[in-house]
Amino acid sequence: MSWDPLILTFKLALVTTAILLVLSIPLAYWLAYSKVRLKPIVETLVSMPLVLPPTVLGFYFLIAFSPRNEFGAFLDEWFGLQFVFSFPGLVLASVFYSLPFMVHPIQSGLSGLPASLREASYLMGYSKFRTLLNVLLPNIRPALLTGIVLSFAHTVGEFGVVLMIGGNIPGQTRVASIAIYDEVEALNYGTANVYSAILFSVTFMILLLVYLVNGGYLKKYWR
Amino acid sequence: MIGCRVEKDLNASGGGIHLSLNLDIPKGALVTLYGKSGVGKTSALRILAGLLTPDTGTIVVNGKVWFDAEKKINLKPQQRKIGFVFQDYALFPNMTVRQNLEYGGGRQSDPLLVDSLMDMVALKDLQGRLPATLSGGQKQRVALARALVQKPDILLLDEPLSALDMGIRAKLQDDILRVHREFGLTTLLISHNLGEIYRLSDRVIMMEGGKVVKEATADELFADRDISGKFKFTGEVVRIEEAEILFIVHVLIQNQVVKVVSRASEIEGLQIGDTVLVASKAFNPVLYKLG
Amino acid sequence: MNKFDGHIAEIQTHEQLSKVTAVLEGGLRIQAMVIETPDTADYMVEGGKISVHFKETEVILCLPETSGISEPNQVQGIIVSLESGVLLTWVCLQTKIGDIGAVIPSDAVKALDLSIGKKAVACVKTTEVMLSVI
Repeated sequence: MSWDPLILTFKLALVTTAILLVLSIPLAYWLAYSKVRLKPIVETLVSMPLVLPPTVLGFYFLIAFSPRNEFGAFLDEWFGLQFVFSFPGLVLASVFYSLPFMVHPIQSGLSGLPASLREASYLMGYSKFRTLLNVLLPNIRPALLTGIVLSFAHTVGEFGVVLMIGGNIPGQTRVASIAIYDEVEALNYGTANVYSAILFSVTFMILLLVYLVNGGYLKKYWR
Repeated sequence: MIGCRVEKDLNASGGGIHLSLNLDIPKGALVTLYGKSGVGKTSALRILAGLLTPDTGTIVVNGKVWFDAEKKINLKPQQRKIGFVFQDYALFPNMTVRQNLEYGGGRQSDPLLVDSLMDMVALKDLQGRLPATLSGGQKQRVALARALVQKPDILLLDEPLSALDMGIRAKLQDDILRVHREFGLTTLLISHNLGEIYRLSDRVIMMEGGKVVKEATADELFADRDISGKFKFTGEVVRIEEAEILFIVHVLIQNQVVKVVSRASEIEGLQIGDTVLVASKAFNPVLYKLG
Repeated sequence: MNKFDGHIAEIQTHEQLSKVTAVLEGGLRIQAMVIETPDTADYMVEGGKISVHFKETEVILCLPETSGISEPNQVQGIIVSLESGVLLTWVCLQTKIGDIGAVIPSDAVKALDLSIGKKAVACVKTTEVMLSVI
């Protein structure tokens, strides 16, 4: 049994979550407060990964970034980026695939805050950016935590997208979920069991932690 | 001096109204906006604060143009130097009382001013507390103090005391009056409570259906000046007791409670907290020299 | 509060005080003493529409044959209802200007033997009558 798939899985989840956090805050802010007519379309696109079979997403990624078409070739030639069957490709696909899990909690956290908090800050002379940083984000900490953890856990658990765009290259794109499938195919139930048990317990612990923190059960241990 | 002549279509829930404001408020005045809910009082404050943009018109404050629809001038809320006390207080839940005040001072918060303001509204003992742990009256005091740290020219209060009970309200009315005078503010207040309006305001602006329908002193607007009784006071009903075939109504006038005997038919619809005019003939009371 | 509409028939002013005589419906005259003069109040003009107000507790009831009362404001009527408490009684008198309410001591009701259908006279002190503009 190799540890590589597990390490790769958590590395992928970590990188994906970090990118998602940076990306989702402005996106969620825009979705929460903008009154532009385009908004429902963007909202729909963000939510699509929730309902779309992962293989569909993976298939389109595969088509789009294949070095055989112009766009894929362009990226390869000019930036040296190969998204097909590579780790960056996995990250990119995961970011799209887990986007709603980060955006939705932050968006509903932001729109749940009374408008008067923002307005009070503006009237004190603070810009929208400073207000976001000093007033809004600190007051949606539970939503941020939920977003971070759900994205992380969801990325750990993905299979279809990863299989389509990443393939099954040991050490590069073979994440735990694919390794389990492989081992079962090869009738190595023991190894599959170890991978599964580790994934099961780690995701269980992570989710448990979120519910404990957001439910206020750990309050007495800090502050 | 605030000169505000603006129009705006408001799509309020339950049908839109057309807001048409024509206000002239002298510097240093304490003015109450009075009227039923949904007539555009809060919108008027929000327009002054820059949180709501009018469709047409101008706002000029102390000779400076804040808004001019034609010239496309619209000062941001950040540039207007306005202290705003929101109806829900809008205290930042992540900051302590002291941090709320410090943040309220903007980028160059003055710690001395923060201290003196906290003294002024008796918040010193609460400075390390988070807003969630404060009572309504305490939150209100924090909101008032916080609105003043940036030394605004104009103070806007949106129904600041409506959620508080009577005893606390009286104390906070004092606070509002005091800061209004000490800071030389021009203050606009929304209130439904006649006692409060009498106590606080120099002028009352009465609004109906998005328009200013009357502007006068509280006395001119509310007191039935046509009754000839010379012994007249406005007060607040604090208790109604039955006494045989009559009722005894306790009325708080200033800080004294007086009792008035009434018939059931006269007090129909009268509730605790209502503002009433107590009138009698000047021939009736007797005087005793005190001291 | 007893309230009746009418108009001002006569104003007699001396210094700060005025005695206003109002004519009510049915031609009854009621006088009111006020600290007001035609110079200080707009409504103080002869012919001006006004209401007179006086509190039920300021009404004195006496029997029709009583004589020598200091008050010019007297209205005769018939008692149409009585509402008795231990100490005070509410008496309603039907008169030509309308119903007048009076709150008087329950003892007095017994002493004068007041009951529904009996005649009585309501007297109101001139200094207790208030005026308001209609």
